[in-house]
Amino acid sequence: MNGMIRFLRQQTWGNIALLFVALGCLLTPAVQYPLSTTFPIGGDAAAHIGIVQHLISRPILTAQNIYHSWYPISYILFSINALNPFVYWPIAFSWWMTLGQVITGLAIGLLSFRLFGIRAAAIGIALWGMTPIALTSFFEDATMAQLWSLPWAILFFERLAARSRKGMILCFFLASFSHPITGLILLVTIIITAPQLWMSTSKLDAKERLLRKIYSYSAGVAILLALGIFATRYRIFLLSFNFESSKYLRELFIGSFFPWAITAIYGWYHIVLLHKKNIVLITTLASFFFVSLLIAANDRLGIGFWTNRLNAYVTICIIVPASIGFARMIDMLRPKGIALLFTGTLLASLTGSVVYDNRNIYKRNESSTISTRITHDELQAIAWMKENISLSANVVSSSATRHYEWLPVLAGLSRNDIASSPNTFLVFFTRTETVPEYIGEKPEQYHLEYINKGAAVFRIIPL
Amino acid sequence: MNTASLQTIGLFLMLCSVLAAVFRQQELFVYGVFFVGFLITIIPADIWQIPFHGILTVVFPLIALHVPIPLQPNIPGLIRLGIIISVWTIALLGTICISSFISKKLVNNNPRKTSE
Repeated sequence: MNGMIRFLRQQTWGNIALLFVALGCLLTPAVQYPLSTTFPIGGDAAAHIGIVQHLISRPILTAQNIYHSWYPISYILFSINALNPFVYWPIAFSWWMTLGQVITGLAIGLLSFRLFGIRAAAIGIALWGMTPIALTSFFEDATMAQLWSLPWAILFFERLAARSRKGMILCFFLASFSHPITGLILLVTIIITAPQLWMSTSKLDAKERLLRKIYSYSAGVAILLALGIFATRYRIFLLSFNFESSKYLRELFIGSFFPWAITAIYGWYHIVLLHKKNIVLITTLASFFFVSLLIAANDRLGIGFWTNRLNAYVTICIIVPASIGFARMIDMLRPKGIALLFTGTLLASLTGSVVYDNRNIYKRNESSTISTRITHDELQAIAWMKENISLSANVVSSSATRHYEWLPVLAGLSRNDIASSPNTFLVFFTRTETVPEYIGEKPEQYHLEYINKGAAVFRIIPL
Repeated sequence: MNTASLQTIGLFLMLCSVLAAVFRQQELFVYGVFFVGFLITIIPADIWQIPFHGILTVVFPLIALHVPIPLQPNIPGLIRLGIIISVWTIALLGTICISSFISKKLVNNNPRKTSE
């Protein structure tokens, strides 16, 4: 705290004001999500909650679940919510996503600060604040683990800029065990960087030579491991997926973010110029962009693999140099006060536009005519099931909606596609699906137990 | 032509590319013009003193997106992605190798460098 106060005292009033405007730009669209949404969309959210929610009552089982998951660090952090005895998991999840968004923004600020200074930090924070919905899908897709892996990946580069090897190694492992894709991208970055460092014409100091050794050994081990996996687990590479065009990449390079992409070119030049002595930093950052862009734009290469989810990395690669490029432009403008006022106004108005656009999207998702959100009636039906159906019962539900995914989380019930035991209940979420006629025609076999505007629950009477 | 004139031309080209971008012209054209302007601006200043690899590595994926690699359509998606990244990495490393060689030669002949 004292350090923070000392840091702020060293800054001019103009810079502090810009930093506060930037924090407002980061917080407003982030907080808008939990305040505008009554419930996170199913799928990943329910699965993530299901892993950690019994930390207090069944700690060994939870630890085993976390250990066997792909995202152990993200889950360990998320499980902190279980310490709150009054936690309502869907709401906690939405706020946890908000916190992840804010922490990622602060990490970007820290990296930009390390590379250029406080103005770049403020601009970087504000630019990341504008990304929800328009440039990233974390909130709507509930991709918590990936979002929470980003701060570690960014801090990996921040530690690299600070020449802290231990910090780099720690952040690398935290990022990799938060989400394997983030770890894989960092690893490929290191593999591409290592040979470049050996080819470099510039003289490396002792620390950089040691880092080059670490990179080279890591790259060697990673390549051997990859070859081993390729030889023994070839099926992993045959993973089937639907072709996905990147909507975010268009937005980034020819849409609303395009001016920042252009500014990033100018910013990148300044990074290279300012840190020309830190060859490892420049080469690693450049390689990260190389990997991130090719992966995010893989639809342009005829592949179309998860392009929207993979876009966040290249967005960070644009935001950091753009913040530095724009900060450099402000530095050249006179008088200083007017330049800062202009910057603050620009960032605040752009954020206002993002908040306005997102408001319409959230409103649409909350609409009762579409089934993306679970509504009060459906939640009431699940609450009734929790009170009245034994945990050993078999609950059958169609996959017309993804609301059934909340049954294990909110009611502790397991869901199946088919009736497999005498104690079976059928659930229909009637906003989206209709109760089949044969069920209404045989009340002696299908007994209606509960009904409201959003759901109908039937018990199958064994004949 | 002196340094200031060259830098003015470079800045003018960069400005043109930004204007072209605003009016939604061809992406490749915009990047190309900006990059040429950018090079003209920095060449007189510090080109032999900045790590040139940093610039090359950033430009390569932009080229990669516009130059398709002919691959059999039955190759699975993830393997295809791995092949494309590997091919462009090798191309990048090859270019860096050649540029390092040329750069070494030029630096050795650069009076500013040798006088330091």
